[in-house]
Amino acid sequence: MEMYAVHKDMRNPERPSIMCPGCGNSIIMNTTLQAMATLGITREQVVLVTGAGCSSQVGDIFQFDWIHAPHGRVLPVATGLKIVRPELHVLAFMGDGDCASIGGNHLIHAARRNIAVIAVVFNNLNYGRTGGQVAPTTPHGAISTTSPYGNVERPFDLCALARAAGATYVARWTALTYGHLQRSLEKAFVRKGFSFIEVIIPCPTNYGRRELRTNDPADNLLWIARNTITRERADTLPARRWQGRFVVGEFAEDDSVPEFSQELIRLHG
Amino acid sequence: MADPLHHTGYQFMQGSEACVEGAIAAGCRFFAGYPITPASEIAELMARRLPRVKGFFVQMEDELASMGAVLGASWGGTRSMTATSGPGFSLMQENIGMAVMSETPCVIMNVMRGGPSGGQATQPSQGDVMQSRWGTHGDHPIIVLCPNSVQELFDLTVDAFNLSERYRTPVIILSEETTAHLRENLYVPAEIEIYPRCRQTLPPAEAGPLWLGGSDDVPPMPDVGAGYFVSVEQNVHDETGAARAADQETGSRLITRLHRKIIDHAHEFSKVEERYMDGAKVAIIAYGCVSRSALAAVKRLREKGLPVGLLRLVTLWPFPEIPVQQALKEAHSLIVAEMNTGQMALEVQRLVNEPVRLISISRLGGAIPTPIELMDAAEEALTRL
Repeated sequence: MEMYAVHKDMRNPERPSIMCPGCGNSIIMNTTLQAMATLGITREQVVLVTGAGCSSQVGDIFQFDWIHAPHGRVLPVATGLKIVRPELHVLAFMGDGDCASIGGNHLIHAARRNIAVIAVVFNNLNYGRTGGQVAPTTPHGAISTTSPYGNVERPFDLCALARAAGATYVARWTALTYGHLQRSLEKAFVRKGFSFIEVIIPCPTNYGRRELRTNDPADNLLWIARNTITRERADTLPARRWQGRFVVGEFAEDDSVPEFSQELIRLHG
Repeated sequence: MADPLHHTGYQFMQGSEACVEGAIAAGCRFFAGYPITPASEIAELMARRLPRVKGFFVQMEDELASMGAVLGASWGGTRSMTATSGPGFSLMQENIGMAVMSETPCVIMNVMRGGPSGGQATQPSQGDVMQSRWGTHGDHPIIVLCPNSVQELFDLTVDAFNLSERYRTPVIILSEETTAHLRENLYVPAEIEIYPRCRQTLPPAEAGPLWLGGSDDVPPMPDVGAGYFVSVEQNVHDETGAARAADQETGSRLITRLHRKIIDHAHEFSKVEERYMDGAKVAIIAYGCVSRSALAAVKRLREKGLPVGLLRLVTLWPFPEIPVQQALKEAHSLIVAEMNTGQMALEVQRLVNEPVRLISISRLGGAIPTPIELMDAAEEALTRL
């Protein structure tokens, strides 16, 4: 079997992954491992917490201390763990449904508390694992299995939500802008505060097939690319020019806010 | 395990406070909770006490998050606990199931109030007995302890931590509003026996499959951040921790081991209290605050020379079948007195055969069966020889 560098970080490289061709989950994981390698952080120093759905399976494929928490409850588990083990890097890797639907309340409180957990949302714009249902991130009008006539709801702007809740580092990237994603992850590993990184990724099998009418991986990536605009550019344009597109960039960075686990230690007096 | 602020000897305190002191004496250093009548005192006391013993208190956004944080902290290596009442207990069920499936030691205190739903926040009840057994979905075993005094709120909280660490399981303490708010004397020993966590001590390279139960079916728990790369799964998994949700044999094997782990060891920790049971023709079976009335009733009946005894359940689940069966040997009538519609009477009924009679006394709405009511019931039962 041909060996790739990332195989050393996998539980069993010979076991087939459940990820579909063109899925963005492994792009995010690979980028995370690159960020760790750049900073000299080893997997022994990290705990990965995931929820439910395809993105949660990265813990099964890659070799970390991994807590496969119930759907939506990733951030509370990550919070409890980080409080008692502040020296460990805690990754809270969630799907969009996990983070913003069932886990929405936990997101806004984790952000408000400023607990130093690295929250990454694997946003594929639907519930992929369960067959492609509508999610709070699904674009308005999109077809899904539970919006067969087109989504009548508006999606969240997750970065605006996190920012409004007080998140001290907020960024949005896509599967294509993994270089920027790596730099954001590096910042997140180093800083002491809640870091929220949303990554728009393709889901060729469900969102792609049902709404984009193609499960071709390249076509799905191209659709994301065509609909991506940088924050710098969007800031110069009226809203109607970038509404419904993916605005990428950093939206908040504030290192002056006390970090929650450190605050609890300070109470020890 | 000396705690500099731990007052030993004879103390006078509220039940909730005894629970907190018992937890801290047993090594609890993490509490995550949410305000709810009648359990809020436990959170308030933990907020004051834990920072003083270098522990951590956090008020989470809801009970789902509280129980999630308890799981995370337990995997971080810390003895962790939460406290709630009925409505919060309902919200915690999902993560309690995760604690069972992931074999995560933790303690959950449920101070029962009137239910269902918002029910009666300031009234006691025993309505969550079956929920404590079956609240979370799927086949699962559980350990549930029921104190009846401030002393026991201290002692059984210590037991709860010991059992949870020993068997890698959530342990529920079921109390009632009355008992948690009661103020009584208790004796706090200077030395508490603390069972160490069942930890994985072999280095990662030698540890083998991390979810292989030992001879007692308990897999030694690895530390995180130590190179074990443990897989803590919510789904059915094999002995390496890998999810095998589609595999029927693995599912059956895992669920069977989880049950064996608790049921086969129940005789080691199951507790009942027998008072005046020698020669008792009528036995009152009670638990929690009702057992206080029952004891008063039984004492007075014995003063009148009547053969009535009290069998008090301290471990509610696994249900202590053997002591109940023992009681059946001499008694011709069993009176199960409780503050619900007869939840434990159902359990006892399974063991009762003709000609033994089972009388179920149910008090709802917050009413505690009085000694006089229980005396009347026992005397009536005696006449039906």
